[in-house]
Amino acid sequence: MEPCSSENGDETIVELKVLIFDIMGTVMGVDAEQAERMLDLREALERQISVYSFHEQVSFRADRIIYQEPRVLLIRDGEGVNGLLIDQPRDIVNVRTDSIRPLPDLLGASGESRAIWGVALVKEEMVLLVDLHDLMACRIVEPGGGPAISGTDGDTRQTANRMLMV
Amino acid sequence: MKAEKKSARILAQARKRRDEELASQGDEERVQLVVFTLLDDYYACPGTEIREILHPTKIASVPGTPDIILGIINVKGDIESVLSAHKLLGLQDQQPTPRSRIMIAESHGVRSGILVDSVTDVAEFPASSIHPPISTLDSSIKDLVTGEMSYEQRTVTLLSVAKILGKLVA
Repeated sequence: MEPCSSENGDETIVELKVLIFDIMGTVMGVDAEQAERMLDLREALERQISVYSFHEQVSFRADRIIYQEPRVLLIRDGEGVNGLLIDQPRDIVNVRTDSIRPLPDLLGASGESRAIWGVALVKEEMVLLVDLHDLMACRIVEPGGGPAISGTDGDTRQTANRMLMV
Repeated sequence: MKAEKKSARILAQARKRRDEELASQGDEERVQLVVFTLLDDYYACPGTEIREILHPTKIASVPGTPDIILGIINVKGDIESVLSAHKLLGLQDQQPTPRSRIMIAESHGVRSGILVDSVTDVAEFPASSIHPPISTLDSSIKDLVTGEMSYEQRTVTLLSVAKILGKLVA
């Protein structure tokens, strides 16, 4: 985030560096500073990083999700570093904060995913902004208690980096 | 004395009738309604609760929201949610067509778009033409209906935006 000082001494955030990707046509954006780095899925699995898939954390409606070019964002939280499976980002843009709008009233009231916190207008396109720390704080784990994709899953390792259908 | 022409007498009677109608309307309370369709049925909302009527535009879906919320739209830089009127009333879903419209509704500070199949009229109607809703109304929509009236020989179900939005915010 790009801060500047206001008259009362508080830092006003004027710009946000946003990593933009889309999953099944829904355009999402995350604050690039919240991710330590990005790996391809194979590398993340080889490094035994727990990878949680983005679509499960924000409850996508589609029955089947396709990640065209799966990538993993590494996010540090209290428990260490976890991975978040996303699709290959298409852009990193500086978004002026005055172009960010709050979610409409009804979405704030009824949305399951509190990690979606606003909408940025980027070249007339609506980008849903997701807080990665909030997302990982209330992450959904598989019934077995582990991450969505395990580094020991041979099939996944074979197909990692190619299109992933889940 | 020359007899008044028949046609002139008929016209004078017609004018008198029209004047009487206008005079009686002037005394009567009128309500502005936005009349719209869903599938084959007519519905209406109070005009005071509809801020704008838009042509269909790209609706961006938002993960984690109930099915009734189709997504969000950009209205001149403001982001508005869009509800499916079909899902709201338990009707069969319908893909938007060029005749579809998004009504931007607002009540008690809560605003949302409502996607309908078409908007047929925005007009004032005598308040006396609105009757209480029928008691056999489906329980799923009973809470949202405030009355019914007749329009072009069709029954129009009146919906309350306040009740619709209130139900979703609660």
